[in-house]
Amino acid sequence: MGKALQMEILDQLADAVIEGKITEIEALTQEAIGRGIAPMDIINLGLLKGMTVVGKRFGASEMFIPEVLLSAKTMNTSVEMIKPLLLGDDLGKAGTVVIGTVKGDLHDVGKNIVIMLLETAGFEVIDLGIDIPQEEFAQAVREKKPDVLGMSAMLTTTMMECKKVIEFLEKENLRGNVKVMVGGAPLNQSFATQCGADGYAEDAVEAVELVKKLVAH
Amino acid sequence: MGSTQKLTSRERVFEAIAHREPDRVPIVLGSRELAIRYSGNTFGSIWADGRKYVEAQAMLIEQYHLDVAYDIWCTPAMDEALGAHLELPEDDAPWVPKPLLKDKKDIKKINAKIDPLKDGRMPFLLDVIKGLRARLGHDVPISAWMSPPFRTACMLRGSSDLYLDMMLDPTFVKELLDLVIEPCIVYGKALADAGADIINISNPVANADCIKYAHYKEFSHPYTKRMFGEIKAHKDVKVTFHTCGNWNDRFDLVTEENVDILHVDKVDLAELKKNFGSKITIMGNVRTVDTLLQGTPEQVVAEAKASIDKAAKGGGFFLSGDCTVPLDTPPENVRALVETGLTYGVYNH
Ligand code: B12
Ligand SMILES: [Zn+2]
Repeated sequence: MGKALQMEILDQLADAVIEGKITEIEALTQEAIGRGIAPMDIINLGLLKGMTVVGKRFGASEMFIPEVLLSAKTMNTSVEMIKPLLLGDDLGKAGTVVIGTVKGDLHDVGKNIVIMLLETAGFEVIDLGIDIPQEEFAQAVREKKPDVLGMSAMLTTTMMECKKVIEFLEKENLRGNVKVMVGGAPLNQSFATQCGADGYAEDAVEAVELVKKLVAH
Repeated sequence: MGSTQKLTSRERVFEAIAHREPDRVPIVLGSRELAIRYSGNTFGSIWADGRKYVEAQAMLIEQYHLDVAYDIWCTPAMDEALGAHLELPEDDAPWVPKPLLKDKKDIKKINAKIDPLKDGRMPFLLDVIKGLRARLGHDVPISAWMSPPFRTACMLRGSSDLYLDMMLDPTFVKELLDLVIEPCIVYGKALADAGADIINISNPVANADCIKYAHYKEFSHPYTKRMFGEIKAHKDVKVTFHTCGNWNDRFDLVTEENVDILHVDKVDLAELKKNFGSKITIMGNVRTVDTLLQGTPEQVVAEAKASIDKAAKGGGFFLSGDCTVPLDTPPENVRALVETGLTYGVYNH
């Protein structure tokens, strides 16, 4: 098939994600598969390309949380169809991420979007939920042996929990086993460095890039 | 300090709401956390004995010259009354770990006929309001919190799921809103009956950080408006809407929701006063986290003065923080705000 036609379908997939066309995404995905586009290309050059635009528009207040969630769900619908086609080393093997919102903090909308995108990118994600005490983070690191631990903190009053958890991991001799990333509205890179995390991402699209980087190291 | 205090707190607050200049600006802080901390209590000890909270508020009013007493609000008490499990941490605000409506079909199981005198934590909350009235007398207005229909629906369903429902199944969202508005109204009336002079809400899941204007107009605005209309028809109470987060594009709708007082977050008070100051009382907006919690008394004074400069003229203004004052706010910062209100906030007639 011609490159131009492939590009056209990938663009349509990206557009379906941006517009949250959840009723059309299945047919488009079928068509992309039928035309022999590589599954990882469908994800990276179609779906994730769309999601990057979504992230930008959200940042610019041109899209809001319901629209973003629908875009993410639309993308997930496509990914579920593509998954069986992916080779062993494309998917699942990408790595495991444990993620949760820190103690005292009940915000989870942002964390849930991060989870959806990570799953799309082929990671296995274990969601601990909200209001997670340090012991529970440590236990998950011990038992699930993830490549990356992610913590979400949305309040100025709870962000210091990230540091506490990292110190607790050190005390429990678990810190060396796992890369730690943090995120949430009041955080930034310098806070992440200060509290001893391996990485920080501003939004969910960046979080996927970050996890890829952390796993590669 | 006493020399400038010509009016009772009730007179001062209601003069301001009537857009007349009282003796000085009313000083009103969302003070649940402060009352608990400064009295040496914890959330746990308060839940065990509501009288301790009443004493704590009385202490705060007396020592800090605050003009309004706050109830021990617990917005998730509504979820509990409708059947959810409420978690009461020893030293943090109560919350619901698992939304009741994880499965949309469970809407059929919800019994929306609540009885505030019987269900869950509600009778306790109402008793605290009655206790405050008995302890503080008529001169101090009491402000009590509740949750508007949209927020209530978000909490029952889980925000992420409700947001998706708005996109995929708006009929379900309307059905849920129609269901929750009745218990919201019932609880609001019960607050008024128990002695609340001011009803407070906030709706952080409906601001411009979260949903677009058109969604707000469709799913939040008409329900909040109707709820307050019915509560006010039942009893003559005032209404405070705390616009948590960014509301800049939708103040036009909020000010049409039977609201008397806008307790604002980070907005320019001068501009707000210009656009809406003639129809609404503005309450704010010293930054609670950056300044009251983490700043110095000098910074607090500077921000409090700026608020007064921008919005106090002609009445229709309460000096306040931009949100609830956090648990560990240093007393010297609270004092700095109060002192500024008592001195710089005096109206020169
Ligand atoms: C929705 C909301 C709520 C909802 C939460 C519903 C839910 N289930 O999540 C409710 C109503 C429950 C709520 C409660 C409170 N909230 Co609130 N809330 C918000 C609001 C409006 C939006 C948050 C949101 O979902 N954003 C959308 C998502 C998509 O963005 P995001 O969360 O930033 O996530 C992105 C990135 O940060 C990143 N990311 C997120 N997590 C992670 C994790 C990792 C590992 C990585 C790499 C990246 C990453 O990727 C995400 C996607 O791109 C914000 C305001 C704002 N603009 O942030 C206030 C806000 C966070 N809340 C605030 C406050 C004060 C509160 C309360 C204390 C209010 C009160 N007085 O009761 C309570 C606290 C409850 C608690 N203990 O947690 C303040 C925090 C102020 C501060 N600096 O501390 C804010 C900033 C509002 C304000 N006043 O300015 N809130
Ligand atoms: Zn607020």
